[in-house]
Amino acid sequence: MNMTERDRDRSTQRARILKTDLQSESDDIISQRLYSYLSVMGLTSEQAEQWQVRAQFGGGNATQVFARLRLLISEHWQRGVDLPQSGITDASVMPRLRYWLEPTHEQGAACLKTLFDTPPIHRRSMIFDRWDN
Amino acid sequence: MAHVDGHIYPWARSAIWRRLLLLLLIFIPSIVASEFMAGILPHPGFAFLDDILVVVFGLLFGWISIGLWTSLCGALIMILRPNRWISLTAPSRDETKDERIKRPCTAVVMPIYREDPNRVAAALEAMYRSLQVLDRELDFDFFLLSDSDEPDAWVDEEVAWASLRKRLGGNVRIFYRRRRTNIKRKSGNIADFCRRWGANYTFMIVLDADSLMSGETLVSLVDTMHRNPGVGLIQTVPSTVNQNTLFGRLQQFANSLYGPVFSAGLHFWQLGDGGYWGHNAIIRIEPFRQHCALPRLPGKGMLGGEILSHDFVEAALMRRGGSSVWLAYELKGSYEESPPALLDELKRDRRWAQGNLQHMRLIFARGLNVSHRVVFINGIMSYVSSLLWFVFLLLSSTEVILRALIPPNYFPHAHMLFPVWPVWNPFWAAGLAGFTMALLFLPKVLAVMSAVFQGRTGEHGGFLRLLLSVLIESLFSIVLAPIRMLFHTLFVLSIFVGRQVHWGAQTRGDASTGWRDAFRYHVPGTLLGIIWATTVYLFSPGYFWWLIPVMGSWVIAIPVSVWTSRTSPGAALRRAGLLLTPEEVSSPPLLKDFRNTFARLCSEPPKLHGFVAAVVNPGVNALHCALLRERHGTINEEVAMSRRRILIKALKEGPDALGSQERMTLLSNSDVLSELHWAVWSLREDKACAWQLDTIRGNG
Repeated sequence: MNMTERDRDRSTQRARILKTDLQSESDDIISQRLYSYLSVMGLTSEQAEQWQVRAQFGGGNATQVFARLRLLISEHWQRGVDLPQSGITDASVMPRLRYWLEPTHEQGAACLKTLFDTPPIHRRSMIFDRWDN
Repeated sequence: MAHVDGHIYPWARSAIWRRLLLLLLIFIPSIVASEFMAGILPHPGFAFLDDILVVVFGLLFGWISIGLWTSLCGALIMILRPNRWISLTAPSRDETKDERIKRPCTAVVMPIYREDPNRVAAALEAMYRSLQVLDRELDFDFFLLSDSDEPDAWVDEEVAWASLRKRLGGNVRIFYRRRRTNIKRKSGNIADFCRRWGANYTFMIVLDADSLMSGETLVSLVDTMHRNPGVGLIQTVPSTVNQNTLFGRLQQFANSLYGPVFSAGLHFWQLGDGGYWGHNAIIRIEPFRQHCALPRLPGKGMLGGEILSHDFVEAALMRRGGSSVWLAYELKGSYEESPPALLDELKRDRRWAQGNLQHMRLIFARGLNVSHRVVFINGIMSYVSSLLWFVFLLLSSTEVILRALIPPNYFPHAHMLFPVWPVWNPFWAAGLAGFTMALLFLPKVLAVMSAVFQGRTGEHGGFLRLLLSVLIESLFSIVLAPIRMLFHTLFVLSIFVGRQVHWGAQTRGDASTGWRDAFRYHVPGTLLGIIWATTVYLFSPGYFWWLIPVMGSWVIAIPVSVWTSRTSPGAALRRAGLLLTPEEVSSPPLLKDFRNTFARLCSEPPKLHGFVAAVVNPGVNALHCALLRERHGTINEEVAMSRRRILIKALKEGPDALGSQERMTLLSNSDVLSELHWAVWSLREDKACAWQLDTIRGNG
């Protein structure tokens, strides 16, 4: 039986992963992870600490904290900035990519605007010319 | 099918006379040499064996004489410099930039398959900057066309490309595309580009992953194609560069000294019926698209299926379509690398042997130009000649042994009054052998003479160093040739019998051959050489010494293979000023730029790379997800469940528990990969360490 991907219940999928008891519960570990994540993305120490606090506000296990971070990334960096439409379900993809490309928002946005541009595709055939023609 | 009569080309008549001349130069001396060989063989002999020996010798003699006559013509061309049929001009600065922008761009396409991403990125960057110096970068679009099907290679390519785009600036036109399905390998990759984007460009310049071309060369090729609308393809003659092992430097030196002379000679015979070597060439896209799609050869054996050596066939089809194909033997600024070790070269030769032997199916194809049929035969003989050489040795050894075992028949015919004594002329044999060796080494002499007349000895360290280098290179070629012969014979026989000879992936860079590998691949040849030589010695000690140059090489193949694969002897010779090439004596800016960029990229290895980086690194994950084209519509529930199972396995057991196919499954869907990314960062400590989260600090 076929099913449309977008029809699937994503929270159910996440819950299935949670049920396998894999997520971290320790606040210290979660803090370190958040800081590492934000540092790898290219944020300064000060910025990383600020975002760390915001993501951990409200507590919860690691899955919940990172889900909150994901939402914050999606909302913050999309504000007032024109990013390419990707059609990807995870809305944090383009903001994360923009920030990874360049430390400043403006430079990253400029690079991202043209990164996925390709020349137009005008499909034409390329078929073998038979020997007996 | 377009067909254009040859006589309408201004060079067509000249081409006919030149090729007739070559035919005579090959045919007549081969007949004479064969007669001489027949006279040398002992009388009375074994007639059947003798006949085969004479025929094989004649074929081999004709084959090696092609090299001599080609080099002779090439040397004369380089020294006398007669008019050329196509003039390759310096880059034009007359047109304004606005006028050039109105013309369609040229696409520079680089098909890659599991290549070192740093090397590829460094090459593209060096070439782009080379164009910037000429203010011609806007005339070219670069395409990185990937067929990589290995998870780490796929991700690393994307990261290298994005980093390259970042370094060069947001508006640079360097595009990355990875094919989902690898159909027809490299030729299919190029064809896919032509189908999708070919309409946007007039020309494409095809590169290999180890190719480099300077801005001047790229621009010269484009300008020449614009000025010569009947030309479909121009092939440059790449110089071998960046070799550090002894084996690599020997090939590099040989290419730099003998290559120009031989290429000039090739051009002399071929003119507008030239060949295509698969890379470092410019192609007119429209005739390529119309005429150069490749057939699939019928049959399931080694000689059927996809055409492996597609370049020769594409040149033949281009010519069949009415466009000429030229060899730009004088154009500099085109570079490539070569296999660093003997075993790597032989791995490559295994593929090439099958590709060339497949052309046996095309020799009599309708509509092809005679010269390209000859090119097919030439390619086939490149490998079949080794078999012929092996057969010659085998038959001559057999005759010698039979002669020792079977007493001579002094009265071979009935009613003879006087006996027929066996006659053997060793001095004649030595003379013929010496003449044959001269045939083999004269091209080297001609190349040296050409360098002297043109004042190019300084490019190789001076006259005395040049002579010494030629001596060293010749010595090694005498040792390596029989080893190559043995392997090529094995390849040809295995292809005819339909058995696959398995080799590992081709190595680029300086990875040396280990003793275990050398032993594994060379020991059969070593044992064969010992047994064969011993057997001949027991029956005919005199003939044993004739076999020493060949059997001796087989016996010492293992240490030769190991030692020549090392960089230390190569470096030692370079320090002594030997085996130098023009690019080593005075390195062009393109090569310097490439080496500096490559060194810089290699000095900054990321903490995580490949599949693990795509899962863990927020930026790499985002890049990979963004590059995946979203597939809309329904998917099979089994596929979705399979992905889910792999996702759970990855979280529970870590990346090392996943096979390559499982990793590719995860990498192929942005939703699943994104889920995995966030889930990994949320993992319990004991599970997270498998993903190396503890190594992530700062920029990863």
